[in-house]
Amino acid sequence: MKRGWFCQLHAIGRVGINMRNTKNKHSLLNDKKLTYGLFVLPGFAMYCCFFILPIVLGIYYSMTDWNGISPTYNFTGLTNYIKIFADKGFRKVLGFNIKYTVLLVAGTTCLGIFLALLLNSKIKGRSIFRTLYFFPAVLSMLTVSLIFNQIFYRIIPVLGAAVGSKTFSSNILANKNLAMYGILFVHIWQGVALPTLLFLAGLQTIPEELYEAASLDGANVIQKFRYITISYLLPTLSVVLVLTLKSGLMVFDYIKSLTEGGPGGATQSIALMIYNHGFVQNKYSYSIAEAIVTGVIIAGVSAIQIKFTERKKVQ
Amino acid sequence: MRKNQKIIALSVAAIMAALALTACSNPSSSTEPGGDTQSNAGGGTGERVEIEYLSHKSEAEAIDAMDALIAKFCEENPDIKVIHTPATDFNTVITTRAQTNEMPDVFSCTTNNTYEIMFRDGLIMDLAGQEFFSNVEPETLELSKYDGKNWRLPYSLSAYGIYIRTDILAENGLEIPETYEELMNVSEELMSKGITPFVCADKDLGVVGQRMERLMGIIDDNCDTEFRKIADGSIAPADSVILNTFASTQKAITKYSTDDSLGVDQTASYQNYVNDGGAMMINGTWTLVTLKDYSPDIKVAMIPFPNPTGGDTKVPISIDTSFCISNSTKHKEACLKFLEFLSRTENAQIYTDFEGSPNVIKGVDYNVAEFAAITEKMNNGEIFVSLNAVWPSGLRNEMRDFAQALIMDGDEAAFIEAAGSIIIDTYNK
Amino acid sequence: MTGKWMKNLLIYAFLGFGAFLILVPLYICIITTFKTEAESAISFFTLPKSFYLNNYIEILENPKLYYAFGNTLLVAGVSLACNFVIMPAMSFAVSRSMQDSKYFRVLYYFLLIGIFIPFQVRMMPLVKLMSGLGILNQRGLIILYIAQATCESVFLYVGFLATVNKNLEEAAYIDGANTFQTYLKVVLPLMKPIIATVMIREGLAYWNDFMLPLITLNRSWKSWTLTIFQYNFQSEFSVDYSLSFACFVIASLPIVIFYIIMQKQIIGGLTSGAVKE
Repeated sequence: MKRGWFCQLHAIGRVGINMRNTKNKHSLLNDKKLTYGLFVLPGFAMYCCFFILPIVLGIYYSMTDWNGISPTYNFTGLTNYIKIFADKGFRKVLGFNIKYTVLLVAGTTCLGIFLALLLNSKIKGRSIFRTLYFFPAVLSMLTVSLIFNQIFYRIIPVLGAAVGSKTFSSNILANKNLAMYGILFVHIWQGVALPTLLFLAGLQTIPEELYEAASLDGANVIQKFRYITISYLLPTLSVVLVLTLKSGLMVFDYIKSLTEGGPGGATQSIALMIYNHGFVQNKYSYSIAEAIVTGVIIAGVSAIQIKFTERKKVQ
Repeated sequence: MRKNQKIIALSVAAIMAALALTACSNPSSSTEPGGDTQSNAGGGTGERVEIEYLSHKSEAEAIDAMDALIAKFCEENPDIKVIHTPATDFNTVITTRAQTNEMPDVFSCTTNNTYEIMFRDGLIMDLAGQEFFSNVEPETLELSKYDGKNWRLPYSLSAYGIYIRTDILAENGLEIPETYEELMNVSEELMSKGITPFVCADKDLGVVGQRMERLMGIIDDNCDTEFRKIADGSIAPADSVILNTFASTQKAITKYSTDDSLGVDQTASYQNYVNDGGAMMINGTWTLVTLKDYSPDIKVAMIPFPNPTGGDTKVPISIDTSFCISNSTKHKEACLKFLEFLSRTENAQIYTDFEGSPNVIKGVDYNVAEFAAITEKMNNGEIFVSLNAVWPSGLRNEMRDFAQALIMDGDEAAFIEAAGSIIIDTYNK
Repeated sequence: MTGKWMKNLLIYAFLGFGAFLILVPLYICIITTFKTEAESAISFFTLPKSFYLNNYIEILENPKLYYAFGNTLLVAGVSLACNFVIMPAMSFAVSRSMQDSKYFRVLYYFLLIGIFIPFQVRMMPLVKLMSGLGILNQRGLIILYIAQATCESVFLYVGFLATVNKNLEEAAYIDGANTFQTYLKVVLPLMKPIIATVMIREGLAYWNDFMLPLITLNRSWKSWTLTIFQYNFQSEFSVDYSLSFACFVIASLPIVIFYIIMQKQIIGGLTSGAVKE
């Protein structure tokens, strides 16, 4: 790399730019490198010390049999990891999380884009709506869960009975088939705010003229949407996907407050299981191993997703 | 240009320095437990000693009780200051403290395998030979030991049974049941009159798991023996008396609860119960204060849950609150003084009056009318230690999902099979 | 013309329905704060009989509230300030060097890994580390927040900077500005919308965070943040909804006000758009 810089310099020199410009370019390059270095240093140093280091320690603990409280433990290598792959329970829970995440991602992106389009349209009072739609993200997850717990217990059954639907006349969180959708509703209720904001920002980058030109070419609404809107939104989509993917695979607060993994284990999620293993059952090192396996899965899927959208980006 | 670079270099350096400085800031003021900045713990004059008390209960009554006791203690001992730290999510906090070697000097805890592990690993002080134990009821003192050693001062007990709305039963001309058969008959009668017999918070896994464990103990308080036989294969799960009886009992209870009990959490169940939503609630003595908060004039009485097998009915008791001292405390004498103070009858009385649970200190006058039937059993020794003190760590936690599934679909065989394999796995670790 | 009118009507219908879905839970939260525990036991979603102010009074009289407020403000404020200084600069450096320098590309992906590692992996080792360094307090929490903000911030900022045309920067360099000046005068203003978005997101996350404060600030109630303070209204057995929600309303008032003020900036920033191609 360094050779590249110098080659460039030499080439410029050859073209005959005077000595003064060459000197400036040289010092500018040094200045750039120095500044970039200084910019990166504090954040990177903190990241390594206070983020990566604990993770490395965590990985080390996952290869022991530590229960989290004893002062002594033994190094066990990959035993925990082997146990995880043999554990039917882990796979069942992983299956739940995958299903949940797919629905979450689909729901959030579709709803997010839809809302962003609505909030982007030229209607009166749209800034009030914009303010309002971001509001759920301002609330704390614990409080939101408490509120919805009451809504599912008291209000939905009343509405369900009024409409004459038997399934909705009782708390859907108690229904092993519907509980997941109840949690999804709350998650999306709060989780769609930021993606909508990001999509809205993304929509601002699309030049109006493109739509007009497309209309003149005879494109209909769907084609315009597909070829213009989506293309420009791809970078935002990629970001939203990464964030939502993680949010879905590591969903914890909502599940703990709304169903605790019930009824009968129907909504048991990975994060809940990790918490139980780590803090309640004192199987600390095993829970860390589970967390790492989950992390690897999230990273893998996100990497695939990023590569995929990278290829389709608008240049 | 140079100047600006200097500025940025300086500011970055300044940020780094500031962070570094804060990291190396005076350790004693930032790591010493307790929130009082006037502390001079371990100071030169050796005057005032500070100890931290971490309480595991967040209920207002328990906190008020301890505050009152701490105030009295500090009056008597002006050279000791006790800082009362209420714990949010005690489990997480105490585990964190254990890991960072910052255990509180004194803390309260309930009966749980986690603390026994802590004691075994030397985090909790061995209280052998302390004189104040002579003021504790001897049988409970025996029960509170681990491996024959005293690691805690047992304080209050909890019992488990059925809260009965005496007014509802009286209105309907029903007698308070004493046997399991009578309980079923009363339930049948209530249902035919359109009254829900049982209010159950089946949405709450903790409640479901606890009910499962207590019932299993009521069925056979030597549960451990039978479970070990299942674990080593001498009994097949399908032949287990405990598992089978529990499954059918749970099914009966479900039959006599509302259809939507799986959607009812604890708070909702208490609200339902006080609003005449049901006649009976299977719960523990700790709930009475909450029920009275919701409805101060409520007419309830607690009765023992009768043994479904028809055998002796014993009341499960659990040592609800105990006090321990951490082994790493720097003020051993002060902590022991505090425990000794708590073990005095008049102080235990203060605690009971505030908090309402039966107390194991001798001479404490405990007279909660609602618990008359339970107290009688306790005085007659017809009690046993709840299984959560005996079961291996994780057993209740893993089995309770299947208990909830049983409530959901009534499939006894599935529950028994699942419970069986969990027992085998856990005991054979 | 009627087509447009129909379209607008539909838009209003959808948005209105959504607004309703958003407001109902808030309505319930607020009316519960004006009821006594007994009253909410009887009826949960009707208007309160009278404006029972005791819930708010009880909380406002609690000294723990003010410590919690101060702590949360301190931690969130300082973390945000430090993030503002460090993160956009870092992302600028990474973004502009990524194409040419292998080292910066590796750095970028190294930073990204952090997004995928679940919190549980580092939770306990973190506590040990902070305790060992003697900073298991608010200062330590700030450091932790800054450290963990690097991943997502850099991810979002670099993504945004990729859409920003480098022409303006080149122009600045040709005019003789050095890198720092270019960053400060040209790039930073362009990043306003994304910075506002990230700051809001981080601010909310810090204000509402529960787990990290719980394990770092449990030494004394004087170190608590608002979320921990609010959690105390839940006991093992029941939730005092009135107090819990009242506490939540009080705790989120500042953040709501902050949001209402800031949102004009974000929306303003968004509608002015990023630099077009």
